[in-house]
Amino acid sequence: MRFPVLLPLLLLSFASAEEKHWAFAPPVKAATTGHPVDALLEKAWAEMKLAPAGPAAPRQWLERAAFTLTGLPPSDEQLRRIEANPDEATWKALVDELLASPAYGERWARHWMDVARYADTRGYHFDQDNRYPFAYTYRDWLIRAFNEDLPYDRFVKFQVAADHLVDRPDHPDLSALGFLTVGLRGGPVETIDDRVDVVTRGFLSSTVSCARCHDHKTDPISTKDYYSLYSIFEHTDEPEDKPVIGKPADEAAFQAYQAEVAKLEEADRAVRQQLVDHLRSKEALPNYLELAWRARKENWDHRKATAEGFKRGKLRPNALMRWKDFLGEHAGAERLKRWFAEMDAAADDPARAALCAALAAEWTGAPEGGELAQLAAKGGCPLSYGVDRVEQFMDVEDGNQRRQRLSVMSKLMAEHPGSPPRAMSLRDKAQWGKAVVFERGNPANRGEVFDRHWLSFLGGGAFEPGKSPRLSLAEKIADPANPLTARVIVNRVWAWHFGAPLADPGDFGPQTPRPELLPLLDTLAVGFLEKGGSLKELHRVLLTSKAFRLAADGAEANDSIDEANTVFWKWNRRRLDFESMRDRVLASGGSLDTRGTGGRSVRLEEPSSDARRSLYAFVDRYALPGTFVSFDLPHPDHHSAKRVETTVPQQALYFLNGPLVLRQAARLAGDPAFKGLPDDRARVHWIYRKLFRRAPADEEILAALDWIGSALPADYAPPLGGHWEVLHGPDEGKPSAALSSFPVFSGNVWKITQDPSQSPIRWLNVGAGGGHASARHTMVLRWRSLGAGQVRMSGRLTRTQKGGDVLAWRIDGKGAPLAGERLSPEATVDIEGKWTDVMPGDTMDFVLRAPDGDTCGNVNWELRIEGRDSEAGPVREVGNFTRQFPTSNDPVPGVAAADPWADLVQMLWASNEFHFVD
Amino acid sequence: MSHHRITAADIVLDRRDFLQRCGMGFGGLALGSLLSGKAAASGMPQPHFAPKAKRVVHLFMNGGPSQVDTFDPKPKLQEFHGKTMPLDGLKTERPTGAALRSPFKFERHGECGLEVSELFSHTAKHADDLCVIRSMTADVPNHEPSLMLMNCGDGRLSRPSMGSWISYGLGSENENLPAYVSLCPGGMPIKRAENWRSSFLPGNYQGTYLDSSIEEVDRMIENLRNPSARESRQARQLEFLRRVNERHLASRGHDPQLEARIRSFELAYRMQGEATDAFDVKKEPQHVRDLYGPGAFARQCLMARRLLERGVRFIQLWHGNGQPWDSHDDIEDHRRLARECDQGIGAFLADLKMRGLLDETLVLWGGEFGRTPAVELPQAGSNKGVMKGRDHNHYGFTVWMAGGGVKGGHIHGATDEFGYKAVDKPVHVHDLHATMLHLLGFDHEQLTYRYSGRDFRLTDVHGKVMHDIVA
Repeated sequence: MRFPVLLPLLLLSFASAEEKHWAFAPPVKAATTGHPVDALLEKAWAEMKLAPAGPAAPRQWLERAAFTLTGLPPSDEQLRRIEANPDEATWKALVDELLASPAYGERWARHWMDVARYADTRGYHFDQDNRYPFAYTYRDWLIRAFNEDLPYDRFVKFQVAADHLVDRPDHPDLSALGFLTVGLRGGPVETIDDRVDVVTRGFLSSTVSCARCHDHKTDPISTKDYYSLYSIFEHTDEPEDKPVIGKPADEAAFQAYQAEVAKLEEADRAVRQQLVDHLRSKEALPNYLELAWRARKENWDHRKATAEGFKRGKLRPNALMRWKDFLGEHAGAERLKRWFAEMDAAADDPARAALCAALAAEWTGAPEGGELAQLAAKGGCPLSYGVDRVEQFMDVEDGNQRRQRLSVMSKLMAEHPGSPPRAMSLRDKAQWGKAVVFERGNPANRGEVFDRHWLSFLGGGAFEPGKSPRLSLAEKIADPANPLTARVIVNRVWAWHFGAPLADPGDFGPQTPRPELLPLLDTLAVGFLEKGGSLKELHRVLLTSKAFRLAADGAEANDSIDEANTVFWKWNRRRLDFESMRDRVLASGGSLDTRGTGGRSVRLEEPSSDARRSLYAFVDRYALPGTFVSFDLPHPDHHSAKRVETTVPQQALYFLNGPLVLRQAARLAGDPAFKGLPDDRARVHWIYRKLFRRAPADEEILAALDWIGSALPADYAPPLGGHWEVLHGPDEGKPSAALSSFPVFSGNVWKITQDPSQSPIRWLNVGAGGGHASARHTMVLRWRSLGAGQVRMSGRLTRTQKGGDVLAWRIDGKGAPLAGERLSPEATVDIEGKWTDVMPGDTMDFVLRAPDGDTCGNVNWELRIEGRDSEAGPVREVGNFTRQFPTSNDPVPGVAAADPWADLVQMLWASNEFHFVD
Repeated sequence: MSHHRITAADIVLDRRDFLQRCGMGFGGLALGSLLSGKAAASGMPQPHFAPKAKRVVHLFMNGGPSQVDTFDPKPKLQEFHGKTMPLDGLKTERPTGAALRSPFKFERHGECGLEVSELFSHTAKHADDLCVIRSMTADVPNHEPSLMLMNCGDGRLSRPSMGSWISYGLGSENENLPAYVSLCPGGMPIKRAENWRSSFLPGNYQGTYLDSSIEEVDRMIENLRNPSARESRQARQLEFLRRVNERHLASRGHDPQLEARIRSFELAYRMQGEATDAFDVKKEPQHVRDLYGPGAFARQCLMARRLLERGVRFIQLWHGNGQPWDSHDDIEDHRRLARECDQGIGAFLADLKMRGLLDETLVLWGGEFGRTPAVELPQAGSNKGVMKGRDHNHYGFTVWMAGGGVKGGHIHGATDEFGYKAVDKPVHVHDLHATMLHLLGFDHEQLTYRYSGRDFRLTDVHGKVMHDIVA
């Protein structure tokens, strides 16, 4: 049971069911003096005998505003201004500055992407490319819409019906329709349901989708309400060629892209032409005719046609069935009548085959105007199918191949740098039918047919005739008289600023009791409408309140009254969400490039993405990266009303071991400006400035210096690891220093000459997974340590040839034999050396010999080096020949020793101060 | 209007909401030391009644193993081999033809005399522990919706997986390990992560997928190891972090979020060791590894036992990536597939019994559906021109359970004389789910989660508990 204490309250609200549900009545502005937010909150505090927290330090105001408005830390210069002049004018100017920053649109686009269940993939798509290559244009539209402060009614209308609001087919605003189209594709019915859901919950916080199978259990939402909306989206389709809405900046790339597309289109056309030719060929056509004749006689179904057609060399069953019907429809035509009669009279199969061959030849060579030519021109005749329609005759295999070609095309569109941006638009179908209820939600069970109408609990009524019902729906949602729309967005904006909503953003239905602070929500909603639905104006109202600038800690006495801070008597301390967290790491590490907004989605796990803000992440709803899951990104299969916030160890592991954090920390500690600082004290200062934009306190400096000073050199020795060298030498029966490298590397194999059979050291060669030994020579696969610790070589050898000479292997550590055995033909043996202490430069060799001769075939190997820091330490793989197969003889540089300063940066990034906005 | 204020106590009462915010495991778990006194005691999830099973292992034979070749012998197929069976036209995914007899020999096993085919000779040694349900049914003969139905209780809609529901209901017993683990060697099954999704349940109840074909644990689990830092160095780093965080905390009022995050680093540090240990089957003595035998499936069976010992709630072992058991072309392929998993399964059951773990562990074996007793007819572009395979069959198929409070040596329900359709005591997948939740101590109608204005459950509006298979 959730919140059992609220039960009586629910009962109360049912008792007075006569009264209109709060959210369905129009919002009313409360009479206030002064700042409306503060006036209404003060009233609530007074009623509840709460003493508000004191004001926060001015730099906190700015850190909060930068976090909630832009998701990035404020600049040093901005911090200096507010600390120097913590007055209202400076504050307002700074808020305006943040609102004018392009980062504002990025931050708020990402918020809306949660609402819009944004993803760059459609979900499971069997063996086809499942990407939405142009989802990014919707994301970029959102960024622009927020940055340009698009009035909210327009923001709504574009996302539902932009195609009815733009004046040209390549208008960039078409990409707003991504709101509808970036969802999960779970089949046609589920896709439509998803759109009903995202529209009603996204704009109205209303659970209309609950009325899919029966009238809503608790809300006044009927199945007709649901199917009214369902029918609107059912009457849409998406153009196969998505409209191009711009041009790539790089003209040469664009030209190259167009050339590639032309090539692929030609390849596809050629295959369709082949099928057309096949249907008319003198090999296939007689077979079609003959089987069609039999199919008519025996009344074949599609299954039978498939099986019989298969026996005749891949006749397409759809074409065969078409022939069957077509011949039946035109059995009365002179020539066909004769043919039918001859076929019926024919003595045997060869006779019938001859008749069909004759008819086929006559038909394909028929003179214009003749009867057969006229028949061939009829739309239903398989001979009339050209490249444009022949797809209908494709069988399963044709279809698979076609889909593969389309995948190549969509890959090109998705990845080619010259592929122009397109809108994920949709459009109404030509004909508007009526709406139909699916009984119990079952599409196979069609119930009452009715005229679609606007949601009954918001007044209902027919949509305006002669206008797209989807446009009408958009207008109804955006209508200032709609009691939900403004409240819903204001509530969301409030929660994104203050960390908690005024009403449950997931459900504004009757199950959600009247919010405690409804007057505040309503006053803000009315004000928002009065200002023309300007979100920036709303931000200004919220941020200029004193409430936004209260301290995060307040009187303890308040805890017994409102510990959960439901009336915002103090600031809700906020943990950075995933995007702000990652962006802040990258911004403070100096990697983030914030010069341009928009563009294709990037894979965050790739180091090259470190320059991009997190909202540009490629979101694969089919395989959501573990990091997104660990850091609470909502699953994009559904609209998300609010993010759940968890604290799990994977988040900590990300900061302890995650490649991004390690990479960035090393980068910061390697910054020349940092290295050039005169002393360690200055270095601590520099790091605190970079990370926290403040000077460290004396005790923080001391703690850092103390820690750096006590770092153990052994801890920072190069890590246990190494690289491989491929060598050979004369076989002296014992470890030898006379080793040479291989002169030739080709086809991923090390050799003495191009052709090992002609080589002076015959057969000797080394590949990643195996190679060939040579008599009187040794093959040496040498691992050279770059660090210090203990290592052991182990692996498995497999002889691949039956019979032949017995070989021998040996493992040498630091030039001394550790293990060795004979290796018989067809043997598979596990080999293992002994644990050996190594320092940088020490070696561990695998030696393969052919003492009895080299009639032996290849030996396959798996060779690994296990390592540990000390005898008691955990064992891990520190080397693997196959995975680290060297492809060059160039000397490998030693690794830079780890840096305690990077460790310090890493831990400060991991600290609570970095992750919480006070 | 009531003026009740939501206090911290209410938040604790709503333990799941609280746990999802501050849960410390991969799944939710108690936050004992962060809460005071009685609050801590109510923080642990509780079943509705005394559970028979505390953990689940699902051996998922993805692709759909054939019942008439494994656990549901049908002598009639021998008689009708090559002839049309007198059945109503049951539609499956692809065209099928005459009866196809099983090429595998069946023998009776155990005191109960359960008939099992030669494919599962190791499993058959535990016949007296198996509760074989021969009358399973699903909704459609297609992999995707059937996988979703078996795993998430709905073929079409995005719903939380059974493992997510169970971790949500039971929480984790080990804060250093995930509550719900999905192991699949060499990649993912079709529908990939959707098979273990949490959907609208909080994200920490999602299954943790690991590729069990990777032998080095460090590479198997994301961010588990710092590639360069030595342990002593990392310990020093954490000590520094703790001091920095304590200074930060001291200058602020009491705030559980800050404390929870501090603790999460300590847990993460321990997890590095514990998870490495749990997944590392090389730590097992050689004779135990020999018992399980070679191969990825055996390895993940052994991993599963180590995870069970450490309190992981729900473990799914997939046979392999894609849909390996999908023998459309040649049912002989089942021989290879069974060889890949049978020894491991037999050893797993023996091992659990020996360690006294089987009583409280519910083991489920099966696919998303079964296969037709009729031969599949070749189609252009889909078969290899062979006629020895079987199509998908959702009308009747077999799963078995063992341990966790089910009757051993028991057969529930039956298919018709050909093994096509469940005719005696049909068991829908919803009923299987309801029964599994029952064994875990939950009333399947009461284990709910409120989302989008509705209380959702694993069995939606369906599900009947099979009381006669409960021991």
